[in-house]
Amino acid sequence: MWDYDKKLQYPINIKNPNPQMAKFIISQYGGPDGELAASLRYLSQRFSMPTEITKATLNDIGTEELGHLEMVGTLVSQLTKGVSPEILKREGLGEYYTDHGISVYPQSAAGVPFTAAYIGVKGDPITDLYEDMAAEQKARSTYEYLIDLSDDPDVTDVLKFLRQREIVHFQRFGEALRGVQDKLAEKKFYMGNMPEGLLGAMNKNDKRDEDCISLGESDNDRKPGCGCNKRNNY
Amino acid sequence: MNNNNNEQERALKELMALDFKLYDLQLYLNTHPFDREILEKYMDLADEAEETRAEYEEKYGPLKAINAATNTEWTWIKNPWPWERMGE
Repeated sequence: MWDYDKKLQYPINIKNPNPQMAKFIISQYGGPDGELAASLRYLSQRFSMPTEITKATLNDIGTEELGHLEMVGTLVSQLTKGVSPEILKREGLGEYYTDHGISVYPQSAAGVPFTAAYIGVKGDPITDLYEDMAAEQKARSTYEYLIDLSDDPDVTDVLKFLRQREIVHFQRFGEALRGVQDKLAEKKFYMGNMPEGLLGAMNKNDKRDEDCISLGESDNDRKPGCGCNKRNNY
Repeated sequence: MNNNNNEQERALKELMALDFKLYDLQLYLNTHPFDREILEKYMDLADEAEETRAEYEEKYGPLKAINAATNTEWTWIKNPWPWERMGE
């Protein structure tokens, strides 16, 4: 479960409202590479993670992303605080105001509502961890575009912090991925080393239920028709 | 913003910095669970954060609901909430 701590992960104190910037930043709330997608992706993927390291990493980065969701919502909220409907309309938020007032709704910068189609949860740690590393890079790029668009140091400072976290998360996911790959490699059969030669090794696949790896990083890890549904227990 | 708010903001930022360092080390330790140097660093920071948190809550009110009950008032609901500007 989660235990609410009544503070942000990083301080946010925006002095100058800027509704147009809020409209851009909201993409990191509910857009394709935003923090809601990130937290849901990792917190959903963790249920099928095989190792202690991958479970902890997905759990804790998913948790940190919830904190970032709160930070991005805070940016949007403070950037629109006290702004009149007339100015919102002038700054391109007339449509947003019509549907959501000055609340914070999970949508992209272009107004597309959040969808779970933004995330991949494949039940395969190699597949999922590669997705996570790509997701961190996409979020980093988005924060860099937002930094390009920002002319307020109070806003830019927060965006830089969030960008930096994407880089750290990418690093941790990479370490977790290498751990899974090392585990898979330990169990790998090297056909050329088999005493019976290549043909013998291939025939042997029929009997290798115990070593059949269903997490598969390559075709050698999972022979079609080997009849093995067993998950390796790390 | 008066001096009291300034002091509260400074104290909160100090705790935020400590908790952030701890969380960053937590992610590191998840993938390096036997790094003794960082384990030691984590324990030192955890002690420091615990003290800083207790001092903050004593002076400025609870950060966790478990510390929010007093004899006369449930202080958890008091402003500001984290998304609100400090000093408002």
